[in-house]
Amino acid sequence: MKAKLYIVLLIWCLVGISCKDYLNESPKTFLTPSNFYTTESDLKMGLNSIYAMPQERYSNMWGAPNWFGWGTDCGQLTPANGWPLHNQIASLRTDFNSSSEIPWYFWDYVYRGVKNANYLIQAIPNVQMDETNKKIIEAQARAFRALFYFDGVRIFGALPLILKPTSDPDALNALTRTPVEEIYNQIIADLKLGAQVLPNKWSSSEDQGRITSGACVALLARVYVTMAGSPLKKTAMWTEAKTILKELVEDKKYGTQYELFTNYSDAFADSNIPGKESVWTVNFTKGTFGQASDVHTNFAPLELYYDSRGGLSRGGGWSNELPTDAFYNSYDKIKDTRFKFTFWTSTADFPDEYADINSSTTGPIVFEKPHIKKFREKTPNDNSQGTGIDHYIIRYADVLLMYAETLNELNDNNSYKYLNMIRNRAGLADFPVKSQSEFRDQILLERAWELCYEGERRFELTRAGKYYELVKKWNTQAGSNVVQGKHELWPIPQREIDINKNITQNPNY
Amino acid sequence: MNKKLKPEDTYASLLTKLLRIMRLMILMFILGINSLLAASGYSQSTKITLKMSDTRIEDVLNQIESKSEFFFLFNQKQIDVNRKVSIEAKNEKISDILDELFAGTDVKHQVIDRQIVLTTTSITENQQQVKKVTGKVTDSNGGSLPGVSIVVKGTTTGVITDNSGNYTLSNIPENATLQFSFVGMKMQEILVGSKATINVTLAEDAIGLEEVVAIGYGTVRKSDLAGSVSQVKAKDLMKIPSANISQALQGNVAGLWSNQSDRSPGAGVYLSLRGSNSFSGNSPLFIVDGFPIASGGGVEAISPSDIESVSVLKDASSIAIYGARAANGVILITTKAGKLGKSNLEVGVYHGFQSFVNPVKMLNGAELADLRRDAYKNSNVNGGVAVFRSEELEMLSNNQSTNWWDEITGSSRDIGSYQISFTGGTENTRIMVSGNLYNEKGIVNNSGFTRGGIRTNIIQKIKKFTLTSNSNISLMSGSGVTGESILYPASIGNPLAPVRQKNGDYYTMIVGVGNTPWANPVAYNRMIKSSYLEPHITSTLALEYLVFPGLKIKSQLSGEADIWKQNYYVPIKLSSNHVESGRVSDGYAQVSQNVNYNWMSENTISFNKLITNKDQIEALAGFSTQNNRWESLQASASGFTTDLFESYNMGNSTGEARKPASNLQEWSLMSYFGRMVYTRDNKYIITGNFRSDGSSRFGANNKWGFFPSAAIAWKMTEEPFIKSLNFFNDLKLRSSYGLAGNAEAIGVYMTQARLGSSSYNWNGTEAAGYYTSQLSYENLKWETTKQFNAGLDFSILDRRLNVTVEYYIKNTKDLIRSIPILDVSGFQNGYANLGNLENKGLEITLNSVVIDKGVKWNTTLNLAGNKNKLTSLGNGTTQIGTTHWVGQPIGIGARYMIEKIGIWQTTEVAEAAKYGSVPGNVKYRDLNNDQKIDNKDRAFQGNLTPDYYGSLTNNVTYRGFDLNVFATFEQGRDVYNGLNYKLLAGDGYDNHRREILERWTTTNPTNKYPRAALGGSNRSSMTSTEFLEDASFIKLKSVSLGYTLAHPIAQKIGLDNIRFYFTGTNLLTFTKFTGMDPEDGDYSNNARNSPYPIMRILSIGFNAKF
Repeated sequence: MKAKLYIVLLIWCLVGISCKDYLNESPKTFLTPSNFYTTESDLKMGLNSIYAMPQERYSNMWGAPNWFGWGTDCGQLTPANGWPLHNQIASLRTDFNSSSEIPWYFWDYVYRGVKNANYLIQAIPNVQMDETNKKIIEAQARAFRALFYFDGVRIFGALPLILKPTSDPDALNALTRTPVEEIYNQIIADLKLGAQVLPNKWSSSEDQGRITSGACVALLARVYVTMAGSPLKKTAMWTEAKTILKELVEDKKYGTQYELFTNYSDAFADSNIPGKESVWTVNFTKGTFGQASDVHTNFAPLELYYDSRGGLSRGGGWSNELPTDAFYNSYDKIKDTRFKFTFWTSTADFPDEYADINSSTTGPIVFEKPHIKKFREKTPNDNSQGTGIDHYIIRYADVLLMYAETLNELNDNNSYKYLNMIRNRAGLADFPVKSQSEFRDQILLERAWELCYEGERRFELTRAGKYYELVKKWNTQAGSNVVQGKHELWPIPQREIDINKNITQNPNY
Repeated sequence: MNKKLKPEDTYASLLTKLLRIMRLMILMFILGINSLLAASGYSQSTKITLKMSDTRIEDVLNQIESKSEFFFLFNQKQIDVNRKVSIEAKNEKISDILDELFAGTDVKHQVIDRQIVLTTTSITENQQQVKKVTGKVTDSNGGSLPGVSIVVKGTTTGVITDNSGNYTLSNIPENATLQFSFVGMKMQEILVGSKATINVTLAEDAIGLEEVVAIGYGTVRKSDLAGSVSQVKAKDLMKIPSANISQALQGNVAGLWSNQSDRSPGAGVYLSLRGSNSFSGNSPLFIVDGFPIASGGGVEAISPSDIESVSVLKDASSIAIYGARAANGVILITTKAGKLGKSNLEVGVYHGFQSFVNPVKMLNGAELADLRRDAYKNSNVNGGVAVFRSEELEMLSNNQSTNWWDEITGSSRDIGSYQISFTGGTENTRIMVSGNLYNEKGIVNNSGFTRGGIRTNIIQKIKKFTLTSNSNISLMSGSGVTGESILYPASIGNPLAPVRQKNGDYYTMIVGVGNTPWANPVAYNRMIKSSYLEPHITSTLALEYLVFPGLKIKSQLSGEADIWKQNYYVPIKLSSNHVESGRVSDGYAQVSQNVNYNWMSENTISFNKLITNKDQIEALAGFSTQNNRWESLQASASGFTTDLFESYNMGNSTGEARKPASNLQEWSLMSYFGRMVYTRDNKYIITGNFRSDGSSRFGANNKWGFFPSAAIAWKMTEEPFIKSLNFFNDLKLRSSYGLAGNAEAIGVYMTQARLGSSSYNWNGTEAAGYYTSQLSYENLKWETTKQFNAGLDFSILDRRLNVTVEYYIKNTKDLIRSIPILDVSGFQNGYANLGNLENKGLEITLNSVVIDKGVKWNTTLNLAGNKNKLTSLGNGTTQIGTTHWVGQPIGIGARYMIEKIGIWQTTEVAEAAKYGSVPGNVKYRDLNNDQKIDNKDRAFQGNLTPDYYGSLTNNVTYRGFDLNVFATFEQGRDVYNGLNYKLLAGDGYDNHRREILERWTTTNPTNKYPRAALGGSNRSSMTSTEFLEDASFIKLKSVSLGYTLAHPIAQKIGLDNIRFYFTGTNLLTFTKFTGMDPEDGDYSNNARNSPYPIMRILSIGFNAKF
């Protein structure tokens, strides 16, 4: 009888044993990080969404192309714009504070980018594929993570550093700000991997537009010169910068493709980006797939938008950013070809596309201020849809100017050679030999002439330690409001401090 | 010849077919069962082989029981079963074996079919006159009662009635007294005397002391219950005509709050047990014959008349054995089974007539026109001259008025219910087969619900195996547009708007001038084709094996398939003006289908042993796995040249192609559970329960939850000091504590991270891109409810008053809610288990026999109250949005509003002006005295849930008559009747309630209704107490009068008995609530929504037993 009982119990227990996976969910109706990243192609699709992120930073967020031009020596907001969120930044009003929306948007952008990169990086080891290709995918994701953190650390200072996806709300909400240097160390490590692993040039045609070793080196150079400047002032970094810039510019270690176009204007022709001046670009595609750029509309004249002959579809826009008078007048208006290419007024330097408007019998459109036409869509000049003109994240001209700056800081007179390459192309004569400090100032101005409105000006001023001084001097909109030791950084969004009071606010906010 | 079915014939023909199959099946079963029951002469024909040496008599008897179908009846005090014997029998008759076994003792045996009664001669010895008595035992309805035990008092001599309720007792003395007893019936004693025939009618035991109550994984005698369980019997479920069990349960259980705000055909009733435990999901777990139902259709597919009983498990010790899904209570449904020795054919038919008695009286056209003129004058718009459309003027001049409710409802709509069931049983086979058809025509035109079903319940014993199979196949179908898109315009529809234009087209400007046209409800109602079909199958197969007496193992496999398919078509004329179709031109067709499969495998082992005379132990252990798969598919098309195809030929559409949609959700559950019951001296009962549930829904780090509970009961009447009081017939104190979970608060896949798509364009080539768009929640787990329960049961006055009082406190922790997280994660919100809430309450159930003579009058009162409070949100958070506040009942935001304190009067011009108001406008309390009425003047007003609620049932029987009066009531719940914001707007555009005739004017300085005015200028658009109404009510839910034609007469017409009855449902409502029904829910001021009409149902029916 007992034996019978045991047999029965045994059978009963066996019925109860079932497979371990019984309680695991395996959804078929949506992708999860666990069911998706299983092949090389999956990883590449993950990478695609990361490549798309800078479209927000350079175009898609509210006035994003102007965020780092406003409140600088070069750019200000049209008085016709009444939006508080734009005015806060452009004129550094007192209501530019921790509750302002744009710092929050940017914070969110940075960390969404980091998150996308982190999830992808985490997924790579579990995919069965060629190890070299694995490394190449990882290097791209990490280079982009470096790009996001670099933007974040420059605008917010110390940031919570998160390198692995975390989903535990408690752990997340306990994060605090990591010192700036630690963040830079991570950025350098990520970029060095890209410099080492990524190809100088992608062979296959469908890979054109991917970042290269040169892109990583150029960004690394930008990181070094930033670290060498304010506020870290780690001057040893000039040597680091010189080493890699020499490899990039002189030794052509990262490819022979980088050159300047003969004419400044050629660098901005749709067909030339990406091209020989492209070191790191973000791609846009006209009108389709939600991939189009809105950069041109931000700069196009509001006057044209309101005029009966204009409107969005005839080249009108929002006049979000206009040059400061001081900057506009700083050019050699006759010789510098960049001037005519960059600016137009209702009476001068009118693009051909608008010739009919200008010659209209009803009289020309009157612009309140000179406008920026550097990024305009020419064919057709229809701003009601996005343009396909790609945007430079790093242009070769920038690399040359960084090299010139670095050499000057290290007292190497080859600096003139690279500055003059830029000046000569613009139609200006060689820069006469002057002191190191005069050369430094000239570089800062030359960068403005060459690179204005491309998205970096604010950072150039802060690392030069001249943000307060130049804004005060040249920007009539923000000059009276700018506070030294405050406006070099943006405020940390209040929402984050509300969640974790151990996240400190930046000084004076 | 094969006749092809036309598509529109499908429903009708399916149902006819179903009925035909049903008839055929029943016939087959009747034939089959009869042949089983026909087996007789078992004792003569059965021969047994035995070989046992030096064995206790008891073991020999057990051996015989296991080898045959015989079972022994004897008194252990008289028969020495421990005596050791040796016996060897080869193919011998039972009587011969017994003769040998008891040779030389005074034990005699009597074989009656399969029962063997062992007695000693010592008692009957000295009786002188012995005789034979025969007779028949019947129930109060005249139906024969098989299986009644008849024992000569003071002896073990006895028999059991046969299938027809007849018995024969031989060799009994004249001075003997016969005891007739049967489960659920009152015992009767009759002195034999000179009578040779003793016919007995047993009365039902109103108290049901020995009532057996279904609990999780078993049954328990009510007197031994240590937890809190309310049982509802079949009879109580049939008080009102009900489409489904949720309707039938209304008002029947103390602590089970029901709310029927949707009254459309076949709609379910909201049930909530002992308050809300969660922000999400408060519905109890339904378990049908041991199978947790996972689809909505699964409960609705059961015919209420197939239900034997419903147990509502309330306290932790009752629900914990259902673990992570039980926190909201468990409703156990036991369907009918065949009864031993009793074969019945029962037919139940009723027919009901529904009528719409609208408690909301509306203005007619002329009155509305007056109101509008007044409003224009008061608001001084258009020079004070009211604007009318030409159609309105024409209606006015012809003195015409449209009553939109009349246009979309019918005066009388019928309900038909037809049920046939067969039950039968021998010791080895018990069977119940039923077929049912329920058909309800909705009070709203062209709407209806039909359900046809066949149920088969079989219990078959084969040696030590018992096989149980319960299956239900049903087909439900519903039709018609009954939603807010027609109810809202019917409520507010302008009486000056004609139904049709001159050209015959439906008129669309139902809402007055100045407002956007709202669709014509008559057009929607008549033209939109909407119907669904829902086949449902539930089937359970269980095999039980008796390892040895006291130890059983059982394996059960259950499956459920629920398929819901809806066809929907908006015709060409309507589609471009129809919001729900997406405003497409030339017709819109849509077919949607949801399929739900649910299956479970469960194994249990149970043990029951009397360790000593005083200590009894019962134990149960089990393992279960359940899996559910839900799929959906939807396709739609637009652009048709004809309305003929409706949604049945979508390929014929010419409109822009629409993407079909499909979905799949799966969940699985794995569980271990156990129970131990220790009974001491039949006085103390200690129960321990647990369940460990692993659920696929839970986060990866929290896959398993453990839910223990314990209960103790003290039967105080077993104590001498209570007994000596001679006051209590029964007194029991119980208490329990334990945990249960709410796994349903976590949606399927809710803990999973998700990827979103974001493509990138590599210079002209679009490349798909994906990124993580939703966090994963590895730590997310069930919500846990800890519950303490204390209960007291007592009976006094010779069991004529029975009272149960229960008190409970429930604390729910780990509430699942969305919390903000650092955006550093790349996400802004995440789910976390954060927050606690509390429910506590009191329940009283009172049963009494008021009169117990010729007239019998029983009364049952259920009373319950619950207090709910959010005690914490964690993290120092004090509120979630404007909905939930710590320290308040959850959802209190719906009662956070400004307070109306009257109407500004002509004497208050200056004061009113401070608020930008004028006399005639509503006056509000300025809480912060800042001379403006805004959000800061809000305060909590009124109650979200009732203070107490319950029901009162009265049963009166006299001879063949029975009367049941059933009333439900609720006190203290307030409902925000925002529909009145429209219906009392005072602008004369949309229709208004008649009460607006008493509006404020200079000559009628009322404080009730403001002046006529345009654009809502007479009151704030904020939620205010003006429309917060006390929805307390007493409802005369039903009155039922029946007459049973008893046995002798009924038999003449070939019946065992037949009961005719008449029932009136929703007869009277006493309430201050001004809306359709006090069970309505809240409507916000601008909700484009309106309640479904409340129906009065008068029904007649009969139940016949063959």
